Amino acid sequence: MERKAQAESAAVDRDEVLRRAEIDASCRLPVMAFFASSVVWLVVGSLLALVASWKLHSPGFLADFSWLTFGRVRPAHLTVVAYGWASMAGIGALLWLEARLCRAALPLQGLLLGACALWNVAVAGGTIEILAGRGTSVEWLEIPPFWAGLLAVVFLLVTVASMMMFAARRVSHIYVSQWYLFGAVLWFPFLYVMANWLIHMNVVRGVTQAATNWWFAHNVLGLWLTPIGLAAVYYLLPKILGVPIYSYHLSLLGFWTLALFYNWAGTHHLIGGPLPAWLVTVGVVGSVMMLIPVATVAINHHMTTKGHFARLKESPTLRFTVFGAMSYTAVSVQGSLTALRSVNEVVHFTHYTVAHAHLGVYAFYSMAVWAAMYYAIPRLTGREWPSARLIAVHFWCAAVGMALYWIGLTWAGVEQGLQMNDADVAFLDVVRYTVPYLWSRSLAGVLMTAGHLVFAWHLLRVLLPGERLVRGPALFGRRRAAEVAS
Amino acid sequence: MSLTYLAVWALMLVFAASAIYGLVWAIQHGQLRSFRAGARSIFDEEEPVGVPTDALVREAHPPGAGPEAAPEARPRRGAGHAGERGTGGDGWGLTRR
Repeated sequence: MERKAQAESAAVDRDEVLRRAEIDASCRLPVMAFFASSVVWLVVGSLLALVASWKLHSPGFLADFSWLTFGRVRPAHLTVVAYGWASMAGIGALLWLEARLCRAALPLQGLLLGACALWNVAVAGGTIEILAGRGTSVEWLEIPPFWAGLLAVVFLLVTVASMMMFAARRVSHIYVSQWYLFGAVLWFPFLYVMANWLIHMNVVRGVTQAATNWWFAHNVLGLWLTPIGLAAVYYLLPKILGVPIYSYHLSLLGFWTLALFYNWAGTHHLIGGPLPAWLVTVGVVGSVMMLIPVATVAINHHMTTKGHFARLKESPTLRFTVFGAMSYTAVSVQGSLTALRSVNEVVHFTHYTVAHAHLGVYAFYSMAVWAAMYYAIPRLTGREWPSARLIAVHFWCAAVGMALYWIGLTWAGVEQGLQMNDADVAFLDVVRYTVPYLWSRSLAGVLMTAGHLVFAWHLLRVLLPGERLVRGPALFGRRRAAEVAS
Repeated sequence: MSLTYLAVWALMLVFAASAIYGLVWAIQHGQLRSFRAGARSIFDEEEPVGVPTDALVREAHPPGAGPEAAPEARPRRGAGHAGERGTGGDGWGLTRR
């Protein structure tokens, strides 16, 4: 009787593994295409960032090339990292997570592969146009409308694929990560199309255009990158540790309060601008109310990981996940405080804002997506990461680089703001004061770029057909036997 | 222009209504009940609660043999990536969870 039960249990196990393997196999080509493309854009975006950063303290650097002037390189960097790196990596993670959460094979694989190619063409075309001086000058929407239209088509296709997986799901319960992914695939394409239409088709002009611009720009993080990042963390943390989320009802409360408050927050970017006071106040209130979902996420992530922090020493995925999760709390609390008028009057138009944006997109989102990639890619390709040391180098370059970046620019930004608000301080003196911190920014950029190059090289080693197939985990502090694939 | 503003408002209403519909649907279909089961819904027989998945080494099992057929090969806590099965099926000779 016991043996029969064991045999049945074994059958269930095999069935689960087979299903999971089938699901991963269905994702392999499209998801890996998005992941690999994103890493190429990450490297390109990093190099553009370095050029832009260097020009801030050494204005003569590459000054003879019109297409590399700061006014073009900076929006090109933003476009490449937002739509090339962050969005492509996010779509890859989103599709894989959806397939696993729905326990359904990824549909439209051929179309999604084509969509990946189309997305690459659109980002490349848009970036070339920006560097050629034909950007739109609307922050976060610098890509000219034609290329933006191609991106919108891909957004819609991703939404359709997600809905098809949801319709074909083999689980009745919708896990919290799935809710966040719903938010990303249902809200953001709508926002993207609406913002492009309203701004580029001249539906809104003047002050209203600025309000629309920042409503959209803030929601790139709030309703696109944040849901994907949190979905990854809420899936990976329990799976890595083998423990359920500490408080599931808090996690759902967090999602629904994010849905309620986040999309109001954008107008805090226009504090002091010529907008109706109530419109700015709505943004401030929405930003402060975000403390509720942030608290739920922070409590959940900390209490779930509590008792397992020792695992950070050996698990690469956990290290990236926890860094990302902690950064989410930090950037969100900082964001709520920055939205207060009294704080904003000092730090607005300073380097502080740049540091804050990187804390969100890099320290939180990018770290969370790297965690998803470190977890998913061995399962998608059947190939382990060849070197734990390279993962460690990537992590520490990114973490130390980000810390240096944030500390330097935050400090410089506050001082810069206080000095700019002091009529007795000459503007040029304020600029001179920031120069050492701009050097620290470039140094941090070099560190982060080095980490990205290591990551790109490591991924290439996983993908190269002639590379040794390594069996066993890539873990910190452990030796692993490498096996050559037959 | 008035038609444009009408379209904007209509789309905004659809946007808001979709979120409200989602919440109502979730309540009506019991998605906000049984939180304990919900939290455990990403675990299953093969990746149960209590067993880390990122850090598991599992020896390849011969075709037809489940993990329990080789209890000594049961994953230990605190080691590498997910299990491998020698039964292939993924074109790489490895099937990962």
